[in-house]
Amino acid sequence: MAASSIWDRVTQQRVSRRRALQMTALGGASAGAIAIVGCGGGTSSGDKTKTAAAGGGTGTGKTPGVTGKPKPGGTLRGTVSLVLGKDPMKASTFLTHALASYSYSRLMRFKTVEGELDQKDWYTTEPELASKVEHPDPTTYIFTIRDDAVFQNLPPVNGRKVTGEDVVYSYNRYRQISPNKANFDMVDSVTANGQQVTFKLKQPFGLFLNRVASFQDLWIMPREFIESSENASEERMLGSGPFIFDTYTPNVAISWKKNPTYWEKDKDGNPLPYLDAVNLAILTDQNQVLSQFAAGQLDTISVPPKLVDSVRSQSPNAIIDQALRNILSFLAFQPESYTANKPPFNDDRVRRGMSRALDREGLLQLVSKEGGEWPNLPINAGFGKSWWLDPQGSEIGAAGDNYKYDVAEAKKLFGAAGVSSINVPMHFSSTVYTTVVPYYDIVRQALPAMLADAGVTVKEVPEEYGNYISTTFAGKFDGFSFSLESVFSDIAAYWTNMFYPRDAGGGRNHSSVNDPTLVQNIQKMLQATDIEELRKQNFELQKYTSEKMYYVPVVTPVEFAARQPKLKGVLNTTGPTTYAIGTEGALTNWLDV
Amino acid sequence: MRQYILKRLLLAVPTLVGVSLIVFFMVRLIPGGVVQQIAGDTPVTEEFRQQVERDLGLDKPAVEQYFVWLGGVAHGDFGRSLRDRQPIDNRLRNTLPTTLEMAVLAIIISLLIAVPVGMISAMRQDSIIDYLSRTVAIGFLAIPSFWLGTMIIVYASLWFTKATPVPQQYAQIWEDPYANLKFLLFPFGYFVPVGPAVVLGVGLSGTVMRLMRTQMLEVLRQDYVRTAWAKGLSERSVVLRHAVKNAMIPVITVIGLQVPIVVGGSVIIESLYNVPGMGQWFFQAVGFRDYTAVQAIALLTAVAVVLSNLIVDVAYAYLDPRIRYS
Repeated sequence: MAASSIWDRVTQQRVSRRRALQMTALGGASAGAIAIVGCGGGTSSGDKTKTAAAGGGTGTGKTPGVTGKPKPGGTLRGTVSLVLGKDPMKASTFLTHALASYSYSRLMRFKTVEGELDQKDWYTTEPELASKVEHPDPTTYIFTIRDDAVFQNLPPVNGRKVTGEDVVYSYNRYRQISPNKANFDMVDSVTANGQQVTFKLKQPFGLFLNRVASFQDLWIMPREFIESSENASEERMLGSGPFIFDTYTPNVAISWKKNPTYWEKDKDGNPLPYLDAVNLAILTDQNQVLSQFAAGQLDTISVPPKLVDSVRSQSPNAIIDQALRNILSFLAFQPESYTANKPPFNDDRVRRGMSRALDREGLLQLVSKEGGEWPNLPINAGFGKSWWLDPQGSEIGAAGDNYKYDVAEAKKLFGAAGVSSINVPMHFSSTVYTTVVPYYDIVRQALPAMLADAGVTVKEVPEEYGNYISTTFAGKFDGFSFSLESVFSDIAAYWTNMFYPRDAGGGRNHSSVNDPTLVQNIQKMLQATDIEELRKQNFELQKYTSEKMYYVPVVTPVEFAARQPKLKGVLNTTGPTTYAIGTEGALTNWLDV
Repeated sequence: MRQYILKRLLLAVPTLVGVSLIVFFMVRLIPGGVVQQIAGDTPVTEEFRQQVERDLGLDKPAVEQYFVWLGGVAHGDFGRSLRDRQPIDNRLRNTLPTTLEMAVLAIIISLLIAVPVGMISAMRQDSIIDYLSRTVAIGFLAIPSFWLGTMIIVYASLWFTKATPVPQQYAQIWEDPYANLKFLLFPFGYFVPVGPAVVLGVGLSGTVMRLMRTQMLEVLRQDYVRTAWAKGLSERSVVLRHAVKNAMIPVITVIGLQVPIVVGGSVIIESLYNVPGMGQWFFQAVGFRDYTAVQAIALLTAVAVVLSNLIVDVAYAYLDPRIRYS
């Protein structure tokens, strides 16, 4: 059939293979030339500078609280990556505790303020359910529950008052089923008398109020709700918190509505919370989270360091907050170093050498140009200067030298210990940490090269999180590991968990460190009744562990959150890492629309 | 035919039992059990372990657990999630139709793209259209669907400040057909087909397109087709009434084999596009060591594969009258 139109000529004309290849080569060469010309030169807006964090201080550019008359109403739209259960007493994960804080309350909570909060005031507590706390002797704490504190107005509690018996019930349940129950081992008895509840301790514990305010432990839950059915506390949440649990659809969203009978009011006497509802979409993909935020479908998100510039360019009006989280990153050495005196890490010179081989400032800049701080071990920079002895400060004295980057000194220390080269595996988690703590993988990837400069050859051993938690994190590993320690709400928990023997409260003693002197001094510190004395002893212990380097602290990078300009009433908490977002965050949020 | 179908269904039972056994034991061999997952990074004491195992029924011997679970499945009860203690059935009711629907839509889209293009490519062999379509097919094969999906989401956000719907906006097809199809096909509206089902379907269409072209070329060279041309039938008649049906037989086989690929590939696409389906849940369940959820999802996936292959075999009989099942 003859070609009768242009279309027919085009569609029916045969093209030989040679001709097709020639056309492809020409097209490919043209595209390549355009690419080379178009993409060459220039600097990207994301260039990292080598300057240290601003002022050499905390590097935490805290956004001051926004003033203005709060407007009631609106739905806060946020995101969460996972919902792992709704009963905070059955799980130890921060994901569950963060959600619990919308619906449940504690006796105490961490102080929140509008505006900047001096680091010295970080992690101070204030009453939540309690109207007052009396401390008649070193081992007795009497909490009086506020008269207007009521449970949410839903069956079976139907808005009744919160009483001392609820605290006793919750404490007993916590001690029975919580994986964290050892955190209250210092308590001898808990008794109630009407609105008063008395905690008697076995010995003085200077940080007891911090322990009570902890977001991981003593949430107050009503008996009749918990016992209403076998899985009541997993199906929904019902407490005395500012938000009433509404719906949960797995992998979709979880939401709450305002609790109209919540007792707290703002300084002008207006009822809290201001928001009508909170809706957290369950989003697992970071690109999704950012695109939703850019499209205005989310009001607040956390931002991995590498994507801060993207957020700034896509959402130029967004407010970026930054803070230090209290997640501690560190190197842990094989337990046989301490249990069987196995070289090379049994020698503290080798461990100090490992610390000197780390360019902490370089690692911080690798994560983001905003930098961060150097953690001490076990006390992180996120605790603020009340508790954290700055390795770069003057107070730490000669012990601070163990943190200074010096490859030559590292090699000298190895040599002095009789170790010319070290060839060891490095265990790390290849999942979960990499998404929940975005800087983890960035730092992890840089460690082998950094250590190689000092003569340490590292064989990377990636482990899926479940495997990692049950082996390496549980103290079954060789070589060393790059690990994270999750947040505790007081420094005592770090000291006891990381340095006590494993069968005596040292649940996070990954390396089975065995230093009786250290344990004795920790006990002495925790029994100090004067908080200033406790602080002083805490600093001395940090100097001690900086010399011993049983674990090598790595870095605490600044972390970021972005919010839409309409989201206001964002207060600064004392501990940047308190996961009680409901009562210490969303409570005062409002939407300026 | 009825007997054949019945025989195939009966033969599927040992296959499914075998799959359930393998999954049951394999998931329990992964280090770090569910107790550790529940405890998180808090160390597990022996007391806590025993308490949790008792609560979850994991203190019984593995064989007993298997038969208890299998007995429940026979009654349509897949048990409770070990993670959040919620009935698996409830969650399956919402997620299984979603993933299945996405898989079916993806396959339909792949056919809608691949069959016509494959046909035209064969009919206009060695023309510009043929070269273009073959290049595009290779492109579709080479480009991972998760990359394509990510690019769509990122550039839609960068250039148009558009985002895909959040999971709360998903509705089942029987609840709100328009919202459902919009979510899966046109998430940004304006009938721009860049949804998760489209991305999955595009990824599948490359293989089908190539196969369709090859089969069409072979069929078009058959004697009976030459006879049809010689009789003076129109091109349309020759191709559509005589050639396509025979060319489709191997294509149908490939489609049957793609069902498990689509269901497996849905894990990442569901995460990217916020689709509240079974794929994401399965991935999380393995990570959490949620044994009952993993077992249920694996079993249902196996059922889907068995049924899809049966449908494919039955379709042969329709397409090729020479094939008769006894």
